[in-house]
Amino acid sequence: MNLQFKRLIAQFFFFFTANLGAVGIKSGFCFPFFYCHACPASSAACPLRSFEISIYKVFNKEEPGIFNIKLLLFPLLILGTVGILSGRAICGWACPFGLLQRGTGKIARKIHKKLPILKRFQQSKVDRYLRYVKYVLLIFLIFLIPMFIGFMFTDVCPNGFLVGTIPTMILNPGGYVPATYFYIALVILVLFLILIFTIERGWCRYFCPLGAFLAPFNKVSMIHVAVEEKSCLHCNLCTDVCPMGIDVPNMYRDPECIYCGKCISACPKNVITFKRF
Amino acid sequence: MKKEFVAVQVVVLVVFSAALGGMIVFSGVYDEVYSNIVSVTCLSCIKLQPATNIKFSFDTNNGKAHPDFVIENLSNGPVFLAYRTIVCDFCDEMDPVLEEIFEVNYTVEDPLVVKTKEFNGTSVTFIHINKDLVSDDLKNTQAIYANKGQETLVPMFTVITVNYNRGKGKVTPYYGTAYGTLKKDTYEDRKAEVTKMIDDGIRLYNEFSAGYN
Repeated sequence: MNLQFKRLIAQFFFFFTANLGAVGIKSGFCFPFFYCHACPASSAACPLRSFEISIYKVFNKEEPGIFNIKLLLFPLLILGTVGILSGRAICGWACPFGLLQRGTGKIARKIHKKLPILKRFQQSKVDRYLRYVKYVLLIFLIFLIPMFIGFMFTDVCPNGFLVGTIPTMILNPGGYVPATYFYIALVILVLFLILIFTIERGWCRYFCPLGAFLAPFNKVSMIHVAVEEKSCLHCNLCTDVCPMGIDVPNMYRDPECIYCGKCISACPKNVITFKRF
Repeated sequence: MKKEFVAVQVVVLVVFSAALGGMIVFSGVYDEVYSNIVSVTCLSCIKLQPATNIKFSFDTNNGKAHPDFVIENLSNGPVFLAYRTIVCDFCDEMDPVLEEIFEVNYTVEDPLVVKTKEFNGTSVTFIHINKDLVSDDLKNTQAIYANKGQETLVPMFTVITVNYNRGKGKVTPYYGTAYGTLKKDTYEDRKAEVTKMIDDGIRLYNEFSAGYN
Protein backbone atom coordinates (compact mmCIF):
# COMPACT_ATOMS: atom_id res chain seq x y z
CA MET A 1 0.00 0.00 0.00
CA ASN A 2 1.22 3.48 -0.89
CA LEU A 3 2.74 5.33 2.09
CA GLN A 4 0.56 8.42 1.56
CA PHE A 5 -2.58 6.29 1.42
CA LYS A 6 -1.56 4.65 4.70
CA ARG A 7 -1.10 8.11 6.17
CA LEU A 8 -4.53 9.17 4.96
CA ILE A 9 -6.08 6.13 6.64
CA ALA A 10 -4.21 6.94 9.86
CA GLN A 11 -5.40 10.57 9.73
CA PHE A 12 -9.03 9.54 9.25
CA PHE A 13 -8.69 6.93 12.00
CA PHE A 14 -7.46 9.55 14.47
CA PHE A 15 -10.08 12.03 13.29
CA PHE A 16 -12.85 9.55 14.06
CA THR A 17 -11.18 8.57 17.36
CA ALA A 18 -11.06 12.23 18.37
CA ASN A 19 -14.79 12.48 17.69
CA LEU A 20 -16.00 9.35 19.46
CA GLY A 21 -17.90 11.64 21.83
CA ALA A 22 -20.56 11.72 19.11
CA VAL A 23 -21.43 8.15 20.08
CA GLY A 24 -21.09 8.82 23.78
CA ILE A 25 -17.48 7.70 24.24
CA LYS A 26 -15.56 10.32 26.19
CA SER A 27 -12.35 9.82 28.14
CA GLY A 28 -10.17 11.57 30.68
CA PHE A 29 -7.11 11.60 28.40
CA CYS A 30 -5.57 14.59 26.69
CA PHE A 31 -5.20 14.52 22.93
CA PRO A 32 -1.55 14.36 21.87
CA PHE A 33 -2.52 16.70 19.01
CA PHE A 34 -4.36 19.95 18.38
CA TYR A 35 -8.06 19.32 18.94
CA CYS A 36 -10.65 21.00 21.13
CA HIS A 37 -12.62 19.39 23.97
CA ALA A 38 -15.32 22.03 23.37
CA CYS A 39 -16.26 20.19 20.17
CA PRO A 40 -19.61 18.52 20.95
CA ALA A 41 -18.21 15.21 19.61
CA SER A 42 -14.78 15.41 21.22
CA SER A 43 -13.60 12.32 23.09
CA ALA A 44 -10.77 13.82 25.19
CA ALA A 45 -9.29 17.07 26.45
CA CYS A 46 -7.11 19.63 24.75
CA PRO A 47 -3.61 19.42 26.28
CA LEU A 48 -3.24 23.19 25.99
CA ARG A 49 -6.36 23.71 28.09
CA SER A 50 -4.97 21.37 30.72
CA PHE A 51 -1.70 23.35 30.79
CA GLU A 52 -3.61 26.62 31.10
CA ILE A 53 -5.87 25.40 33.89
CA SER A 54 -2.93 23.99 35.85
CA ILE A 55 -1.22 27.36 36.16
CA TYR A 56 -4.16 29.74 35.71
CA LYS A 57 -3.56 33.01 37.58
CA VAL A 58 -1.11 31.42 40.04
CA PHE A 59 0.95 34.62 39.97
CA ASN A 60 -2.00 36.99 39.71
CA LYS A 61 -1.90 39.30 42.73
CA GLU A 62 -5.56 40.34 42.66
CA GLU A 63 -7.24 36.95 42.28
CA PRO A 64 -4.62 34.22 42.81
CA GLY A 65 -5.50 30.86 41.28
CA ILE A 66 -4.60 27.34 42.35
CA PHE A 67 -1.54 25.54 40.96
CA ASN A 68 -2.53 22.02 39.88
CA ILE A 69 0.60 19.99 39.23
CA LYS A 70 -1.38 16.95 38.03
CA LEU A 71 -3.01 18.86 35.19
CA LEU A 72 0.42 20.21 34.24
CA LEU A 73 2.26 16.88 34.30
CA PHE A 74 -0.43 14.75 32.65
CA PRO A 75 -0.40 16.37 29.17
CA LEU A 76 3.33 16.92 29.53
CA LEU A 77 3.93 13.18 29.97
CA ILE A 78 1.47 12.23 27.21
CA LEU A 79 3.15 14.60 24.77
CA GLY A 80 6.59 13.61 26.04
CA THR A 81 5.95 9.91 25.53
CA VAL A 82 4.54 10.48 22.07
CA GLY A 83 7.38 12.89 21.30
CA ILE A 84 10.19 10.55 22.31
CA LEU A 85 8.59 7.72 20.33
CA SER A 86 7.83 9.57 17.14
CA GLY A 87 8.68 13.28 17.37
CA ARG A 88 6.30 15.37 15.28
CA ALA A 89 4.92 12.36 13.42
CA ILE A 90 1.70 13.03 15.32
CA CYS A 91 1.35 16.28 13.29
CA GLY A 92 1.66 14.45 10.00
CA TRP A 93 -0.16 11.24 10.82
CA ALA A 94 -2.76 11.95 13.49
CA CYS A 95 -3.69 15.62 13.95
CA PRO A 96 -7.15 16.43 12.55
CA PHE A 97 -5.91 19.94 11.77
CA GLY A 98 -3.11 18.30 9.82
CA LEU A 99 -5.75 16.42 7.87
CA LEU A 100 -7.56 19.69 7.16
CA GLN A 101 -4.33 21.28 5.97
CA ARG A 102 -3.54 18.25 3.85
CA GLY A 103 -6.71 19.15 1.94
CA THR A 104 -6.04 22.87 1.77
CA GLY A 105 -2.36 22.31 0.91
CA LYS A 106 -3.24 21.32 -2.64
CA ILE A 107 -5.16 24.56 -3.11
CA ALA A 108 -2.24 26.49 -1.61
CA ARG A 109 0.11 24.94 -4.17
CA LYS A 110 -2.22 25.98 -7.01
CA ILE A 111 -2.35 29.51 -5.62
CA HIS A 112 1.46 29.57 -5.50
CA LYS A 113 1.57 28.93 -9.23
CA LYS A 114 -0.60 32.01 -9.82
CA LEU A 115 1.08 34.11 -7.14
CA PRO A 116 4.81 33.30 -7.21
CA ILE A 117 5.40 35.95 -4.53
CA LEU A 118 4.03 33.46 -2.01
CA LYS A 119 6.60 30.89 -3.05
CA ARG A 120 9.35 33.49 -2.80
CA PHE A 121 8.05 34.43 0.65
CA GLN A 122 8.48 30.83 1.78
CA GLN A 123 12.07 30.85 0.59
CA SER A 124 12.84 34.15 2.31
CA LYS A 125 14.35 34.86 5.71
CA VAL A 126 10.94 36.09 6.95
CA ASP A 127 9.66 32.54 6.68
CA ARG A 128 12.54 31.28 8.79
CA TYR A 129 11.94 33.89 11.48
CA LEU A 130 8.17 33.40 11.44
CA ARG A 131 8.70 29.77 12.37
CA TYR A 132 9.81 30.94 15.82
CA VAL A 133 6.39 32.54 16.44
CA LYS A 134 4.94 29.20 17.51
CA TYR A 135 7.51 28.94 20.31
CA VAL A 136 6.66 32.46 21.45
CA LEU A 137 2.96 31.56 21.43
CA LEU A 138 3.65 28.42 23.46
CA ILE A 139 5.69 30.22 26.09
CA PHE A 140 3.66 33.42 26.36
CA LEU A 141 0.07 32.58 25.44
CA ILE A 142 -0.08 29.09 26.92
CA PHE A 143 2.05 29.58 30.03
CA LEU A 144 3.09 33.10 31.03
CA ILE A 145 -0.04 35.12 30.22
CA PRO A 146 -2.50 32.68 31.86
CA MET A 147 -0.13 32.49 34.83
CA PHE A 148 0.07 36.24 35.42
CA ILE A 149 -2.99 37.77 33.77
CA GLY A 150 -5.59 35.08 33.22
CA PHE A 151 -6.30 35.54 29.52
CA MET A 152 -5.89 32.24 27.69
CA PHE A 153 -5.04 31.09 24.19
CA THR A 154 -8.08 28.79 24.23
CA ASP A 155 -10.29 31.90 24.54
CA VAL A 156 -9.38 32.90 20.98
CA CYS A 157 -8.18 29.59 19.54
CA PRO A 158 -9.23 29.04 15.90
CA ASN A 159 -9.54 25.32 16.61
CA GLY A 160 -12.11 26.00 19.34
CA PHE A 161 -14.07 28.24 16.98
CA LEU A 162 -14.01 25.78 14.09
CA VAL A 163 -14.87 22.58 15.95
CA GLY A 164 -16.50 24.02 19.10
CA THR A 165 -18.32 27.26 18.38
CA ILE A 166 -19.60 26.57 14.87
CA PRO A 167 -20.94 23.04 15.58
CA THR A 168 -22.54 24.26 18.83
CA MET A 169 -24.34 27.03 16.93
CA ILE A 170 -25.44 24.61 14.21
CA LEU A 171 -26.68 22.01 16.70
CA ASN A 172 -28.52 24.62 18.80
CA PRO A 173 -29.93 27.17 16.34
CA GLY A 174 -30.71 30.36 18.23
CA GLY A 175 -29.66 28.72 21.48
CA TYR A 176 -26.51 30.74 22.01
CA VAL A 177 -25.34 34.32 21.61
CA PRO A 178 -21.77 35.57 21.04
CA ALA A 179 -19.70 36.01 24.17
CA THR A 180 -16.73 38.24 24.98
CA TYR A 181 -14.09 36.90 22.58
CA PHE A 182 -16.43 35.70 19.82
CA TYR A 183 -15.59 38.33 17.24
CA ILE A 184 -11.85 38.33 17.99
CA ALA A 185 -11.85 34.54 17.61
CA LEU A 186 -13.87 34.86 14.39
CA VAL A 187 -11.27 37.23 12.92
CA ILE A 188 -8.51 34.82 13.98
CA LEU A 189 -10.37 31.94 12.35
CA VAL A 190 -10.69 33.90 9.08
CA LEU A 191 -6.96 34.69 9.19
CA PHE A 192 -6.26 31.03 9.96
CA LEU A 193 -8.29 29.94 6.92
CA ILE A 194 -6.56 32.48 4.67
CA LEU A 195 -3.22 31.21 5.99
CA ILE A 196 -3.85 27.52 5.36
CA PHE A 197 -5.29 28.18 1.91
CA THR A 198 -2.28 30.24 0.86
CA ILE A 199 0.63 28.56 2.62
CA GLU A 200 0.83 24.81 2.81
CA ARG A 201 0.76 23.73 6.46
CA GLY A 202 0.88 27.42 7.39
CA TRP A 203 -0.55 26.80 10.85
CA CYS A 204 1.92 23.97 11.61
CA ARG A 205 4.84 26.02 10.32
CA TYR A 206 4.28 29.27 12.12
CA PHE A 207 1.67 29.16 14.87
CA CYS A 208 0.79 25.74 16.29
CA PRO A 209 1.82 25.76 19.99
CA LEU A 210 1.60 21.97 20.13
CA GLY A 211 3.87 21.69 17.13
CA ALA A 212 6.27 23.95 19.02
CA PHE A 213 6.08 21.63 22.02
CA LEU A 214 6.76 18.51 19.94
CA ALA A 215 9.39 20.02 17.62
CA PRO A 216 12.40 19.62 19.95
CA PHE A 217 11.54 15.93 20.34
CA ASN A 218 12.50 15.44 16.68
CA LYS A 219 16.12 15.72 17.87
CA VAL A 220 15.78 12.69 20.13
CA SER A 221 12.81 10.71 18.77
CA MET A 222 13.11 6.99 18.15
CA ILE A 223 12.19 7.37 14.51
CA HIS A 224 13.37 10.00 12.12
CA VAL A 225 13.68 10.70 8.40
CA ALA A 226 17.17 9.95 7.13
CA VAL A 227 18.79 10.89 3.82
CA GLU A 228 21.63 8.81 2.43
CA GLU A 229 23.70 11.76 1.30
CA LYS A 230 26.24 9.83 -0.77
CA SER A 231 23.58 8.43 -3.10
CA CYS A 232 21.50 11.62 -3.27
CA LEU A 233 21.18 13.15 -6.76
CA HIS A 234 20.20 16.54 -5.33
CA CYS A 235 17.28 16.64 -7.74
CA ASN A 236 15.35 18.48 -5.01
CA LEU A 237 12.10 16.66 -5.76
CA CYS A 238 11.88 15.93 -2.04
CA THR A 239 12.22 19.61 -1.14
CA ASP A 240 9.59 20.54 -3.73
CA VAL A 241 6.99 18.21 -2.23
CA CYS A 242 7.81 18.91 1.42
CA PRO A 243 4.70 20.58 2.94
CA MET A 244 6.82 22.13 5.67
CA GLY A 245 9.24 23.73 3.23
CA ILE A 246 12.32 21.90 4.53
CA ASP A 247 15.55 21.61 2.56
CA VAL A 248 15.32 17.81 2.77
CA PRO A 249 18.72 16.67 1.38
CA ASN A 250 20.48 18.81 3.95
CA MET A 251 18.30 18.09 6.94
CA TYR A 252 19.10 15.95 9.93
CA ARG A 253 16.40 15.53 12.58
CA ASP A 254 14.87 18.86 11.55
CA PRO A 255 12.41 20.17 14.21
CA GLU A 256 10.05 21.21 11.43
CA CYS A 257 9.74 17.70 9.96
CA ILE A 258 6.30 16.16 10.48
CA TYR A 259 7.34 12.72 9.18
CA CYS A 260 4.66 12.83 6.50
CA GLY A 261 6.91 10.80 4.21
CA LYS A 262 6.14 12.81 1.08
CA CYS A 263 9.89 13.13 0.46
CA ILE A 264 10.25 9.37 0.81
CA SER A 265 7.51 8.79 -1.77
CA ALA A 266 9.00 11.39 -4.14
CA CYS A 267 12.63 10.26 -4.06
CA PRO A 268 13.54 8.58 -7.38
CA LYS A 269 16.59 6.86 -5.87
CA ASN A 270 14.90 5.73 -2.65
CA VAL A 271 17.66 7.26 -0.57
CA ILE A 272 15.22 8.84 1.92
CA THR A 273 13.81 6.48 4.54
CA PHE A 274 12.28 6.33 7.98
CA LYS A 275 15.02 5.19 10.36
CA ARG A 276 14.70 3.74 13.84
CA PHE A 277 16.87 5.23 16.62
CA MET B 1 27.96 7.04 20.68
CA LYS B 2 24.99 5.58 18.83
CA LYS B 3 24.47 2.95 21.54
CA GLU B 4 24.55 5.63 24.23
CA PHE B 5 22.00 7.68 22.32
CA VAL B 6 19.67 4.70 22.02
CA ALA B 7 20.10 3.98 25.71
CA VAL B 8 19.15 7.55 26.56
CA GLN B 9 16.07 7.31 24.29
CA VAL B 10 14.97 4.07 25.93
CA VAL B 11 15.53 5.38 29.45
CA VAL B 12 13.58 8.58 28.72
CA LEU B 13 10.74 6.58 27.17
CA VAL B 14 10.59 4.20 30.15
CA VAL B 15 10.63 7.08 32.63
CA PHE B 16 7.93 9.04 30.75
CA SER B 17 5.63 6.08 30.18
CA ALA B 18 6.08 4.73 33.72
CA ALA B 19 5.34 8.16 35.19
CA LEU B 20 2.30 8.49 32.91
CA GLY B 21 1.00 5.05 33.85
CA GLY B 22 1.59 5.75 37.51
CA MET B 23 -0.26 9.04 37.28
CA ILE B 24 -3.25 7.46 35.58
CA VAL B 25 -3.47 4.61 38.11
CA PHE B 26 -2.65 6.40 41.36
CA SER B 27 -3.24 10.15 41.11
CA GLY B 28 -6.85 10.38 39.96
CA VAL B 29 -5.79 12.75 37.17
CA TYR B 30 -7.77 10.81 34.58
CA ASP B 31 -11.02 11.47 36.48
CA GLU B 32 -9.99 15.05 37.10
CA VAL B 33 -9.40 15.74 33.40
CA TYR B 34 -12.67 14.01 32.57
CA SER B 35 -14.78 15.90 35.08
CA ASN B 36 -13.01 19.28 34.90
CA ILE B 37 -12.32 19.59 31.18
CA VAL B 38 -13.99 16.95 29.02
CA SER B 39 -17.40 16.94 30.68
CA VAL B 40 -17.51 20.70 31.29
CA THR B 41 -18.60 22.88 28.41
CA CYS B 42 -16.31 25.81 28.72
CA LEU B 43 -18.24 28.87 27.57
CA SER B 44 -15.04 30.80 27.01
CA CYS B 45 -13.74 27.97 24.76
CA ILE B 46 -16.86 28.08 22.61
CA LYS B 47 -16.99 31.88 22.83
CA LEU B 48 -20.76 31.70 23.32
CA GLN B 49 -23.32 31.89 26.04
CA PRO B 50 -26.89 30.61 26.18
CA ALA B 51 -29.42 32.89 24.55
CA THR B 52 -32.24 31.91 26.87
CA ASN B 53 -33.38 34.20 29.63
CA ILE B 54 -34.27 32.66 32.95
CA LYS B 55 -36.63 29.73 32.49
CA PHE B 56 -38.84 28.52 35.37
CA SER B 57 -40.05 24.95 35.79
CA PHE B 58 -41.57 22.54 38.28
CA ASP B 59 -39.97 19.44 36.79
CA THR B 60 -36.30 18.85 37.39
CA ASN B 61 -34.19 18.58 34.24
CA ASN B 62 -33.06 14.98 34.75
CA GLY B 63 -36.16 13.81 36.62
CA LYS B 64 -34.23 13.39 39.89
CA ALA B 65 -35.61 14.66 43.22
CA HIS B 66 -34.49 17.99 44.63
CA PRO B 67 -31.41 17.45 46.81
CA ASP B 68 -31.90 17.35 50.59
CA PHE B 69 -29.86 20.49 51.23
CA VAL B 70 -32.18 22.45 48.95
CA ILE B 71 -35.36 21.06 50.50
CA GLU B 72 -34.07 21.78 54.02
CA ASN B 73 -33.22 25.39 53.21
CA LEU B 74 -36.40 25.90 51.21
CA SER B 75 -38.46 25.68 54.38
CA ASN B 76 -36.83 28.98 55.45
CA GLY B 77 -37.06 30.82 52.15
CA PRO B 78 -35.89 30.71 48.51
CA VAL B 79 -32.54 29.14 47.72
CA PHE B 80 -30.05 30.65 45.26
CA LEU B 81 -27.51 28.23 43.79
CA ALA B 82 -24.40 29.29 41.87
CA TYR B 83 -22.10 26.81 40.13
CA ARG B 84 -18.62 27.58 38.89
CA THR B 85 -15.32 25.89 38.04
CA ILE B 86 -11.84 27.11 39.01
CA VAL B 87 -10.93 28.36 35.55
CA CYS B 88 -13.97 30.23 34.27
CA ASP B 89 -13.92 33.72 32.84
CA PHE B 90 -17.62 34.41 33.26
CA CYS B 91 -17.54 33.03 36.81
CA ASP B 92 -14.80 35.51 37.65
CA GLU B 93 -16.98 38.28 36.22
CA MET B 94 -20.13 37.19 38.06
CA ASP B 95 -18.70 36.41 41.50
CA PRO B 96 -18.24 40.06 42.55
CA VAL B 97 -21.92 40.64 41.69
CA LEU B 98 -22.99 37.75 43.92
CA GLU B 99 -20.60 38.79 46.68
CA GLU B 100 -22.15 42.26 46.75
CA ILE B 101 -25.76 41.11 46.61
CA PHE B 102 -25.36 38.46 49.32
CA GLU B 103 -22.75 40.41 51.34
CA VAL B 104 -20.33 37.52 51.37
CA ASN B 105 -16.65 37.13 50.53
CA TYR B 106 -15.11 34.03 49.02
CA THR B 107 -12.27 33.00 46.75
CA VAL B 108 -11.80 30.49 43.97
CA GLU B 109 -10.28 28.12 46.57
CA ASP B 110 -13.55 27.82 48.53
CA PRO B 111 -15.35 24.61 47.53
CA LEU B 112 -18.68 25.51 49.11
CA VAL B 113 -20.03 28.80 50.44
CA VAL B 114 -23.35 29.04 52.26
CA LYS B 115 -24.83 32.33 53.43
CA THR B 116 -28.33 33.31 54.43
CA LYS B 117 -29.41 36.89 53.90
CA GLU B 118 -32.67 38.70 54.60
CA PHE B 119 -34.29 40.55 51.71
CA ASN B 120 -37.20 42.68 53.06
CA GLY B 121 -37.96 40.12 55.75
CA THR B 122 -37.53 37.01 53.60
CA SER B 123 -34.49 34.80 54.08
CA VAL B 124 -32.66 33.72 50.96
CA THR B 125 -30.00 31.00 51.24
CA PHE B 126 -27.05 31.51 48.91
CA ILE B 127 -25.11 28.34 48.06
CA HIS B 128 -22.01 28.75 45.92
CA ILE B 129 -20.54 25.50 44.59
CA ASN B 130 -17.10 25.23 43.00
CA LYS B 131 -17.55 22.09 40.91
CA ASP B 132 -13.83 21.37 40.75
CA LEU B 133 -13.51 21.13 44.52
CA VAL B 134 -16.66 19.42 45.80
CA SER B 135 -17.86 15.80 45.93
CA ASP B 136 -19.48 14.19 42.91
CA ASP B 137 -22.85 14.16 44.71
CA LEU B 138 -22.82 17.90 45.09
CA LYS B 139 -21.34 18.44 41.63
CA ASN B 140 -24.10 16.35 40.05
CA THR B 141 -26.84 18.54 41.50
CA GLN B 142 -26.16 20.93 38.63
CA ALA B 143 -27.78 18.52 36.18
CA ILE B 144 -30.99 18.60 38.28
CA TYR B 145 -31.49 22.33 37.73
CA ALA B 146 -29.84 22.81 34.33
CA ASN B 147 -31.77 23.63 31.18
CA LYS B 148 -32.00 20.78 28.67
CA GLY B 149 -28.74 20.23 26.86
CA GLN B 150 -26.90 22.73 29.06
CA GLU B 151 -26.07 20.46 31.99
CA THR B 152 -22.37 21.19 31.92
CA LEU B 153 -22.27 24.95 31.37
CA VAL B 154 -20.74 27.23 33.95
CA PRO B 155 -21.43 29.64 35.53
CA MET B 156 -24.99 28.57 36.24
CA PHE B 157 -27.40 30.31 38.58
CA THR B 158 -30.62 28.83 39.91
CA VAL B 159 -33.23 30.32 42.16
CA ILE B 160 -35.47 27.74 43.85
CA THR B 161 -38.74 28.90 45.30
CA VAL B 162 -42.28 27.49 45.58
CA ASN B 163 -45.36 27.87 43.40
CA TYR B 164 -48.77 26.31 42.95
CA ASN B 165 -48.38 23.27 40.71
CA ARG B 166 -51.68 22.77 38.86
CA GLY B 167 -50.63 19.35 37.63
CA LYS B 168 -50.18 18.10 41.19
CA GLY B 169 -52.82 20.32 42.77
CA LYS B 170 -50.43 21.54 45.48
CA VAL B 171 -47.56 23.92 46.13
CA THR B 172 -44.22 22.41 45.11
CA PRO B 173 -40.65 23.61 44.52
CA TYR B 174 -40.30 25.78 41.43
CA TYR B 175 -36.99 26.85 39.99
CA GLY B 176 -35.48 29.09 37.35
CA THR B 177 -32.02 28.84 35.81
CA ALA B 178 -29.78 31.27 33.96
CA TYR B 179 -26.21 31.12 32.66
CA GLY B 180 -23.06 33.05 31.92
CA THR B 181 -23.21 36.79 32.38
CA LEU B 182 -26.99 36.68 31.87
CA LYS B 183 -26.42 38.30 28.47
CA LYS B 184 -25.56 41.58 30.22
CA ASP B 185 -22.41 43.52 29.50
CA THR B 186 -22.04 45.74 32.56
CA TYR B 187 -21.66 45.04 36.23
CA GLU B 188 -24.77 47.06 37.10
CA ASP B 189 -26.95 45.29 34.51
CA ARG B 190 -25.78 41.90 35.75
CA LYS B 191 -26.52 42.92 39.31
CA ALA B 192 -30.00 44.08 38.29
CA GLU B 193 -30.64 40.77 36.53
CA VAL B 194 -29.55 38.64 39.51
CA THR B 195 -31.58 40.87 41.84
CA LYS B 196 -34.62 40.36 39.60
CA MET B 197 -34.13 36.57 39.80
CA ILE B 198 -34.06 36.81 43.59
CA ASP B 199 -37.06 39.17 43.71
CA ASP B 200 -39.10 36.80 41.53
CA GLY B 201 -38.20 33.95 43.89
CA ILE B 202 -39.15 35.98 46.95
CA ARG B 203 -42.45 37.17 45.44
CA LEU B 204 -43.54 33.61 44.64
CA TYR B 205 -42.30 32.33 47.98
CA ASN B 206 -44.27 34.95 49.91
CA GLU B 207 -47.39 34.21 47.87
CA PHE B 208 -47.37 30.42 48.08
CA SER B 209 -45.18 29.32 50.99
CA ALA B 210 -48.17 29.09 53.34
CA GLY B 211 -49.37 26.10 51.32
CA TYR B 212 -45.92 24.47 51.13
CA ASN B 213 -44.96 21.71 53.53
